[in-house]
Amino acid sequence: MLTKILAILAVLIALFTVGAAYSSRSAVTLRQDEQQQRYWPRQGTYLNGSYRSGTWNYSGNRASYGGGFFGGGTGFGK
Amino acid sequence: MSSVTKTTTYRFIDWSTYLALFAASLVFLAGIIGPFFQQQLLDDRLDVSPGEVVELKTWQLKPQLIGAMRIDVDASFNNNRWTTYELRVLDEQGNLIVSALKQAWAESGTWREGGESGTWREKDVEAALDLQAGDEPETITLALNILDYTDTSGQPIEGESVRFHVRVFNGAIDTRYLVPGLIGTGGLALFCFLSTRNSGQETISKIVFDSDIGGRAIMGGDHNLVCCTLKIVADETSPRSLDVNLWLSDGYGENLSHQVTPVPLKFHKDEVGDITKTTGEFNQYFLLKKRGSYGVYIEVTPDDPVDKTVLKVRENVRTLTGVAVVEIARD
Repeated sequence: MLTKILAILAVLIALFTVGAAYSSRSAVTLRQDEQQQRYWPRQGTYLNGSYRSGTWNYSGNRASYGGGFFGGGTGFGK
Repeated sequence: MSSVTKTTTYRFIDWSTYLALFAASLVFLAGIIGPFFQQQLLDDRLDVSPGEVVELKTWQLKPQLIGAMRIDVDASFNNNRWTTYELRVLDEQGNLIVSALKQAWAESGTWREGGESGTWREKDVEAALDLQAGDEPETITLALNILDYTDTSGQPIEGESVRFHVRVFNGAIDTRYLVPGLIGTGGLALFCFLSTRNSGQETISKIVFDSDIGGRAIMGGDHNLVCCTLKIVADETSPRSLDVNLWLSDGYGENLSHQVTPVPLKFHKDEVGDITKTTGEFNQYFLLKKRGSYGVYIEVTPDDPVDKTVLKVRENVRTLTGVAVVEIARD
């Protein structure tokens, strides 16, 4: 009985992950307000804004992306 | 006297392990064939100066079932610079419809530690964005823009440009989902395998520091596979194999079956090559059609080298493959 539950769970995981990979579930879907929370950044590429009723609501100039992106100074990274 | 037949049965196979393995191979296969769905649309290198917005190319993005449009950007710029660059997607009228930021940096320097020294270089400069059309096809233009270009202390630098290598693919698969998928399904397949191997309820469990072992329990019944496992530990004087004599008796103590099976031994050696011990394992499946009290008695011969025997009998056992079984019919 337990093995059956585990096997069915394995099939569900396979269907979900293959489905998510092939449908590009976490891509940006153009003009879709609802789907943007599924966005999963690749290579640390973050969205600068969001959709509001189908139009891009730009978070605007460089001050509003948080700023504070400066060098690490000496010894950074090692 | 009950009739004894030796057959091979497939009735007790638990298919769950195979189903879970099928699921795992599905995920694996999906990862292998994924790259065949993508076509390259653009492979371009260009220089962008801070403050200018450079438009790259225009495409038609259609709603599609498989994959997304993937924009891969690799930036190269001078060492010890930090830059924030923006990927812009514009619609036909030039309105911004997506904006994504990458905070890229490349630094190098020297290190000194305990009399040793060297140089280090680290960077994080690549960006990637997956795009999918909404309900309708859309004509999109990709543009690049540098928002920020500074040295390591945050002072803006003028007169330098960033070189971008932009590649665009259509039909790209998001393989990041497949890694946890493979680990999950593979792990569950392993669980199924282990749980099938240890399935059933224990009826007899005995350890004896001798070659003769036995026990009695109530077990059996229709559609109930009984598995008898014997583990043998012997010393270095043992031959290559030992004979296992197995007797099965009914509730009145009358003998139902007797069989002799040679069990090959595994020789364990220590670092210098001396034999420390030898071990062997023996398995026999029974189908006892009538539920009742049964006795299992085992003698291992020759008995001199045998140090320890462990007998375990389980019922309601499931198997991974077809197994040889001794079937004892009703009277």
